Amino acid sequence: MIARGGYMNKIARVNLTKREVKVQELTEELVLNYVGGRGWGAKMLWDEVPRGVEPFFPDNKVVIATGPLTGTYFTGTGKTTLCSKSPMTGAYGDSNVGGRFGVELKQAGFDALIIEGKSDKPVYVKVFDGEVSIEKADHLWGLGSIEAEEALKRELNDRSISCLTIGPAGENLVCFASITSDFGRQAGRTGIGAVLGSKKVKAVVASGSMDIPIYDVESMIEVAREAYEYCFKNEGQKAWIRQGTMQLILWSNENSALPTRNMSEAVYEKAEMISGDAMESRVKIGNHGCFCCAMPCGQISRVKEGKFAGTVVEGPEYETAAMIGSNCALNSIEEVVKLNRLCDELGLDTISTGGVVAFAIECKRKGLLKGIEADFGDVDGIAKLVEDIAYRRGIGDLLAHGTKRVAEKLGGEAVKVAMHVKGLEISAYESRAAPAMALAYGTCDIGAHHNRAWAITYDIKVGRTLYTPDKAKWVIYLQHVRSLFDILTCCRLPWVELSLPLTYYERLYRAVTGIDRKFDDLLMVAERVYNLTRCIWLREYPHMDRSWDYPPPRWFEEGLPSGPFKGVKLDREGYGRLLDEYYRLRGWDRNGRPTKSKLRSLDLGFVVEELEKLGVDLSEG
Amino acid sequence: MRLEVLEERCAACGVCELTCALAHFKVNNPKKSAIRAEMWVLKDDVKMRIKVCRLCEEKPCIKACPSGALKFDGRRVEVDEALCTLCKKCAPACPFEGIFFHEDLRIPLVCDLCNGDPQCVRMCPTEALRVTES
Repeated sequence: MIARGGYMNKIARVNLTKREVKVQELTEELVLNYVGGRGWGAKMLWDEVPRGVEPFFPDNKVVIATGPLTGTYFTGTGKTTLCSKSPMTGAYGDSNVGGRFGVELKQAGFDALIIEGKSDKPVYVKVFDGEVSIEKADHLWGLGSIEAEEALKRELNDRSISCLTIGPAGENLVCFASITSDFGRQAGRTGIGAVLGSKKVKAVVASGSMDIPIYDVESMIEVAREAYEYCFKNEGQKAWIRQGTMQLILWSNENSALPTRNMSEAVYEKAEMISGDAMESRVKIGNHGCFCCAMPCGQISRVKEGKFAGTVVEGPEYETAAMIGSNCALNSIEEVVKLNRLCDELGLDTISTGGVVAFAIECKRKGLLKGIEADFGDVDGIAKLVEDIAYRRGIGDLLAHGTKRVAEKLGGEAVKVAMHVKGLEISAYESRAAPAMALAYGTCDIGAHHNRAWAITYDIKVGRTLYTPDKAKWVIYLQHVRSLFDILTCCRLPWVELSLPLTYYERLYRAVTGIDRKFDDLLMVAERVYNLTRCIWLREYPHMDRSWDYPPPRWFEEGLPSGPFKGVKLDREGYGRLLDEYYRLRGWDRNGRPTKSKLRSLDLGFVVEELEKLGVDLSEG
Repeated sequence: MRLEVLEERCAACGVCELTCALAHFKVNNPKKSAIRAEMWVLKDDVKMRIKVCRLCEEKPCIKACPSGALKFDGRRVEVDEALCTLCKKCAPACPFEGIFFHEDLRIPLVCDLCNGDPQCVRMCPTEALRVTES
C-alpha cells in the first residue's frame, strides 16, 4: 500500500442477505484520490449503488468510514462518517459522528465497513479485533437507541466498546432517523438510521486493541503537542468547554439568524431561556469530549427541578436548541433537554424533527393540515407528536416522510413555508439576511445543511444584503476545506473556532501516512468528491437544474417580521447572480452540471462515461 | 507525589490514554496505557470514571501478587518483568481498577508517573488530572 501509516488497510463488506463477511484491501485509488471518510462513501455509492435503487431497497448500502487521521494523536480525531443513498432526498447522503466509534473500528483492524443487503430478522454487526460477525438482535429491537447501547455494553460486559445504534424511528423507517453513538453523539442527518432500520440492523459494535500504524511517530507527537498547546492557550477553548455550540444561541439571535416558529421569524423573544447561559447555570453537570479533543465541547445536562427533573442528555447542541427550541417556540432549557433526550432515544435527527414539527404546526395554524394537536410552545403536545412520528401513529405516519413530501401532498401555501432544500430540512441558520449562507444551503450536497459551508460569518463580516461574487468564491472555499475534514475524518472545530492553522493538518497527514502532499493537493481531493456527489445527484435526477439550488420561496417572498433586519428578504435576481458566479467558478454549466473538462481534470472521466451512457447531457466546457 | 483525579471535570476524551501509550511505548494505541477514562450512563445521571493507580496507602496489588513482581520503590509501584508470571491477580485487587493488560505486552500496565512529570496531566484539556505531593 502506498500509505505507510494511518490506515489498517482493510474494509469489511457485510452482506446481510447472504450473512457473509468479506474483507478487501484498500486500493491506491481509494488512498490517494479519495483518502477516506466521505471520499470513500461517495466513491463506493457511485460504484455500487446505481440509479433506481431506492433508499430502502436491499441494494442500497451504508458505508461506515474512518479516515487516515481517525484515532491518531491530534485534537478531534474521534470522527466517523456514514454515507448512503438518503431516504430524505433519494440521492447522496452523509452524516458524521464524534465520540470513539471510529477509533475502536480502526483498532479492531478495519478502516471501513460496507453494510449491504437486508436481514430478515433483527441483527447487530459486531467488529471485535479482526473478527466481523452478524449477531441476533431480536432482544434489542424496539429499544431506544441509548437503551440498546447500554444493553449491549451489559451483555458484552465491556464499557469500553463503542456502538452505533438506531431507535424505534429507524426501525419504523422514519426518513429522518438518526444514529446514536457513545450515549449522546449522533450521525443525525439524511436519515441513515432508517436505512439501517430497513436492513434490520439495530446496531454496529466495535472494539479493538490493535496499534494504528503511524509513519513517523515522533513527528506526529511534535505536531500534536504544538496544536494542543495552541488550543490550551486560546481563550476560546475555555468558552467552548463551558458552553460548546450553545454559545451560538444568543449570537444567532442578535444576528437575526435564529430559526423561530418554522423560520417565519429570525429573532426569538425567549432566546435567553434556551441559551448557553441558561444551560450552564440551570442544567449543565459536565462535559463529554470526542476522542483526544483539546476543547471537549460536548455538554452533559440534567434537569434539576420541575416535571422533567432527572432527565439527562448529552447536549443540548446549538442546532437542537434552535430547531426544537426556538423553531418550535419552547419556553425553557429544561423543555429543550426533555425533547432532546426524547429524540435521541427515539433515534430522530433533532434538526429535521424540529423542522418537520414546526412546519406541521404552521400548516395546522393556516388550516392546511388536520390531525395536529400540538402548538408552538406546547412541550407536551410536541413530545407526543414526536412520538407519533417515531411510531408512525396518526398524522405522524405522514410527517415521517419529511417536510418536502408533506408539502408536495398539501400543495400551495404549504410549499412556500416548507423549509427545506432538495428534501432535507434547513438547519439552524435563518438566512434571509445572509445571501452567502443561503447559497451554502442551496448548494450543499446533502440538502440544506450548514456543515459544508458555514458562510453566515462572512455575510456578517462583509454585509448582510450584499450579493457580491466574493461570496460565491468563499462558499466554494468552505465547501472544500470543511468537507476535507470529513474526508480526513477529524473535527473541524479547532480550525473554525480557535483558528488552528490548516498547516497543522498538512503536517499531521504527512507524519501519519508518510505521503508528502501539500494542503492544496488535499483540497483538490475535496473538490473531486464535491463534483462526484453532484454527479450522484445528476445520475439519480437527470432533469435536475438550477431551480433545485434555490432555498424555499418564503425567504424570497416574506420580509423578516422583526429585528434589525426587519423587512429584509432574499433578492431572487441577486441570488441568481450569486449562483451563476458559483457555477462559473466551479466549472459547472448554468444549470449546475459539471462540464466534461472539469470532471476529467479531476480524474472523474469514468463519471462522464456513465452519465453519457445514461443520457445525461453534459457540456464540454 | 501521586496523581490526583478530579472525575467531575473529566470529559472522557481519552487524550490521557493515548498520551500514556505514546510516552511509554511509542505506539498509537490507547489500549496500551496505564490510565483509562470511561463514561457511565445511569438512569438519571452520567458519571465519568478515571481508572489509574492512585498510589493508595494499602497497595493491595502488591499483596495480591504471588510472585513478588510488584514493589513499591518509594515513588511508584514498580513491575519486575522477570518475576511477573502474568497471572493477572493484581488487577482485580486494585480498588481503582488502575491496572491493565494488553496481549502484546508481557507486563501489567501500572502508572509510573513518567519519572515525576506525568504526561497525561500536561495534556488533559479539562484539568481533571493533577499532581499532588500529599
